[in-house]
Amino acid sequence: MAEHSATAEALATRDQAQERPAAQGGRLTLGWTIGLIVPAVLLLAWQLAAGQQWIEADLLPAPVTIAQTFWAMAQDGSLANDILVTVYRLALGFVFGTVAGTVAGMATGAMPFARRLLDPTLQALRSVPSLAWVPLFILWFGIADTSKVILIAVGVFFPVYLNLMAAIAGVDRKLIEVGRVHDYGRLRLMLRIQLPAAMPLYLTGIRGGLGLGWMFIASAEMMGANNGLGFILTNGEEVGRPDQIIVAILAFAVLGKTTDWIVARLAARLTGWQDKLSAESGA
Amino acid sequence: MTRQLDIAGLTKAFGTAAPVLGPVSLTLDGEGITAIIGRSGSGKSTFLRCLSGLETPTRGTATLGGKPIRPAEVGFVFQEPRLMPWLSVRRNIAFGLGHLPKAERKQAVEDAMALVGLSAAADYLPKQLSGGMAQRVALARALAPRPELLLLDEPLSALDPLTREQMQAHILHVAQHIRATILLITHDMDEALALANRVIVLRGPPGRIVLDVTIPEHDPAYAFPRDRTSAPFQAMRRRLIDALEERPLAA
Repeated sequence: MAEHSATAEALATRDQAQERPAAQGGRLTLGWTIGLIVPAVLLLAWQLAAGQQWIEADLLPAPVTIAQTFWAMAQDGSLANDILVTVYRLALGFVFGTVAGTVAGMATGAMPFARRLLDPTLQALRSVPSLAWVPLFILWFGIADTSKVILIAVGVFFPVYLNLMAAIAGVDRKLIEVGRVHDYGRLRLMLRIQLPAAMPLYLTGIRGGLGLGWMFIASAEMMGANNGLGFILTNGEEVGRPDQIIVAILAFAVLGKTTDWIVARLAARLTGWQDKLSAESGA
Repeated sequence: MTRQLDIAGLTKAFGTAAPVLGPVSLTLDGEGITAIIGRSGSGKSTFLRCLSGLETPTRGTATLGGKPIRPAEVGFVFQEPRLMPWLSVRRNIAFGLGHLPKAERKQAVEDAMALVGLSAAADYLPKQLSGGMAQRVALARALAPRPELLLLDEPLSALDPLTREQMQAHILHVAQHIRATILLITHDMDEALALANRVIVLRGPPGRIVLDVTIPEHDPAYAFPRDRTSAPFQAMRRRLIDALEERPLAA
């Protein structure tokens, strides 16, 4: 071995003038703070308009009033409780929806027969608006958490399912052949080639599913709940507290953005192997 | 000592269409490189895919030591590197070694990397490799399970001329250090003559053997590295060109 490795290394050294590894591009970092400019300007304009009484405080309170409401809700613990309830429901629904979407996506992506059998039905169900499920789920599962969790799971399921199915069905045949010449069976092909190759699109589906999960939980909690951020929305409408409504909306926005950021970071870590322009530029 | 590869009446047709290959019968009973050359559509790649198990022959058999060829006995290098982009060089090379204990797997990977001069690039990702390096990783991946039959399906066709020449040196080096029957598909006559100790010309479709030449290895004119400008080399080259020329195949 020593003899041939010495020769091989000599050959490799000779090659190096022509065969340099592709350069790792330097990362171009743009300040994330640029995204704060538009909200800051809007906030200032809003405060200014409210201060000048150009807008009615009963309909749209000033940012300072909203901040005071937020502080009061944070102090008495009610906001934290409602956030925790909402996040708990979302997390459960997200896990169930992702698991179901993953199983269905793997099956229909890898097996054309399963695709022909299941996909038309699932595509039809996908077209049903989220709110249409609410009365049925409340009828079946009651007004407690179960109906809300299932509704969220339905919202998460479809993007995960669709993206994973498309990604697995679209895995390059040439990579599959590499597995076949190494005598890979169906399960090893799935675990070692198809799932890793499908990962970028799968993670896009999970990200989309999470976004839909947030939309669905708002619907679910607005239709029937006595706690959670969605309940704050309906309660604010009933008692004429637009400041409370806006606090809940902002909480949804912050939580939605935060969870999306977490998934996006995770996706970037898991798919760093991709040879794409955005990886080089940091875009 | 490698076992004898026997190919008998190997024929391949896709669906109900006319055969694209065969019948091809051939015996290979030694180590070293056998080159198979032919024009596009002559069935070269189909022949190799039938041996690897990627295609099922319509008729005929291929045996190694009298037994059907098992996937574990075959190493395959494709035209393109076909590396798993999410795996490092080391893990790509270990791709076909899942059945081995960890220590053996590690040793097999180290040996294969050393054989193709890639030890320094073990932790690179495929996106960081040049074309020549990527193809060497593919070669190492095929070598790591220590196959008895190494099938190279035009592995150099996508490379630039200089890298191609360097890769030819790597393949020659590998052939001199492993115990395997190597079948090299190429459409480059010079490459075939520079590397092989036997050259087979396929013409088709359907691809059939029209010439089978053993290079006189002990003739100093064919000592490695071969002088491509020598008169014997050029004479052999002309012979291959004659065999490749389109004319009706003898029945």
